[in-house]
Amino acid sequence: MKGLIIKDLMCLRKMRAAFVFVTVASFVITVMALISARCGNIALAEQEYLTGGTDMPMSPSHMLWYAVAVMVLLPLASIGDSLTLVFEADKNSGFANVAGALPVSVKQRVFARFITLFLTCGTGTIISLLLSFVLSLFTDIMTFGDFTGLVLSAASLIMIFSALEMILIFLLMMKNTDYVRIISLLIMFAVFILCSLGRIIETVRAMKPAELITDGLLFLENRWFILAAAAAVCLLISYFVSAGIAERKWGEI
Amino acid sequence: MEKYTNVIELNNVVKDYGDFKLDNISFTVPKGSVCGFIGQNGAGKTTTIRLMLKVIKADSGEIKLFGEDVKGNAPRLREDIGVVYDEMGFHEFMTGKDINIMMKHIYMNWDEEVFFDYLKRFSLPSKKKCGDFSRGMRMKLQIAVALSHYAKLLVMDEPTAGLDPIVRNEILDIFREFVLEDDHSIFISSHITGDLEKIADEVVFIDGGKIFLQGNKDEILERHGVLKCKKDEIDNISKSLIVGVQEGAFGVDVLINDMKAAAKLYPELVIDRTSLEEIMLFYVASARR
Repeated sequence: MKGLIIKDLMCLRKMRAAFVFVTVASFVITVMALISARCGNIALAEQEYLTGGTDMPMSPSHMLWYAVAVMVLLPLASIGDSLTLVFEADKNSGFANVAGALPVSVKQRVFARFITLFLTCGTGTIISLLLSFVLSLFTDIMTFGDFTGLVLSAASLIMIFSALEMILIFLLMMKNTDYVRIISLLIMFAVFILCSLGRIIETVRAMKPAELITDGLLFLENRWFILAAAAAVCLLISYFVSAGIAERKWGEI
Repeated sequence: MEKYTNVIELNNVVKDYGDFKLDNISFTVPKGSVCGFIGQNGAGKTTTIRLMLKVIKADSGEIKLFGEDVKGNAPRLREDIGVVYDEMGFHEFMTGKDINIMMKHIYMNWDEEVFFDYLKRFSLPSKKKCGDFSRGMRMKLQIAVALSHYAKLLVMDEPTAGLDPIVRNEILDIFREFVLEDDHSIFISSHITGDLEKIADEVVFIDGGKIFLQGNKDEILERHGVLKCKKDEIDNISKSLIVGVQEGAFGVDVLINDMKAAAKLYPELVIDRTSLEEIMLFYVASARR
């Protein structure tokens, strides 16, 4: 089984360059923005906003908070969708034939996929947390605790997304990974709308959509454990469903 | 596990896909032998191999490898099996070194020294991506993998298809070397009967999902023959001897299933030795009629 995980990670090697680029770029841009917020143009804009010399709807530091939140999550997001890439690579090479002849059970093959997911998502989370730690030294907009909550929430969302992808791939035998991605995103979007329908209607009526984003970010920063619990449940369901289906449909993974 | 006489045993195996059915397949491959599995494209060879390896599930019937039922034992039994497909199956970005890293964490008996020795012997660069390999090199890479974990049984699906005669001969030499060990066996499916004629001890013929002939290759070749006669002479030949008839411009070729009996009964007629290819063609043609 370890060999299959190694193979999956090898499939993701080509993502290395993109991951390093995204991580370095997001780090450099964020640091520059945070320095600017201390003693640069963003700091001047903030002063102007506070003295009422501008008609901006939101303070520059508030907008910076949104931007930093996005930038910190970019490295994690860039490797978040590794699972479908591995499935795609296996499909293109015809690896299923080789895997079927290896001394590994179908359950172990499915389990190996989940371990690959944990490893990639874990790596992204650790790197995002390291970035967060460094960034938290440059700013008062977010504490390291806020950053941590945000990163863990994003990691949980990626896990839920991947758990959905796994179920779609095994249950519906979907071969086209683009469809798998789109359907998983649509499901997550639908769940989000259903869960926060009242708040969405409220902010739309009040014509203050930015409040929805602020609420969302605060939720991600402070309630990450709810998403982590949801991710754990989704992953467990996904594993048992995927392993059960894969065993029934031998040779199809 | 060592006390078995047949390395492969299939009893009344059925797999129905709706548009294709593997119908009550039964055959055995004795330990230490090379068995050729002959049939045209779409005859059911690959499906049979996938069933044997328990990559797919049979609807009914019993499959035994090394004397053990594959049900519940397949992953363990596959430790002793080397598999070679007609297409490589490894990711194109992988190098020989990558494959070694992967396989040594999969096979308990993986021997990286043996693997790199094979790569050297087959002139396969260990640092080159296997996507850049030629078809012959890809096949040799698969064989190197199949032979590097001390497999006792090699299962191969069309390993020589699409290869030039020189590479095919090289590969056949490797197989001959492999079966020098007493407990080593080979199951090789192919529609290139010439290769099987060179290497096989046993042969199993399949067409339309049904086995129509099986046994010792030499016995089958000795028993069958092509009787040459005129059209009007066919009626005089015993129907029980005739497998199939092929009409030509100058007469009729009749495949008979007992050359000795036919030689006694019809001493005036010419009976030529036949090949596995001719046997396959006559049987398949007569089944279609």
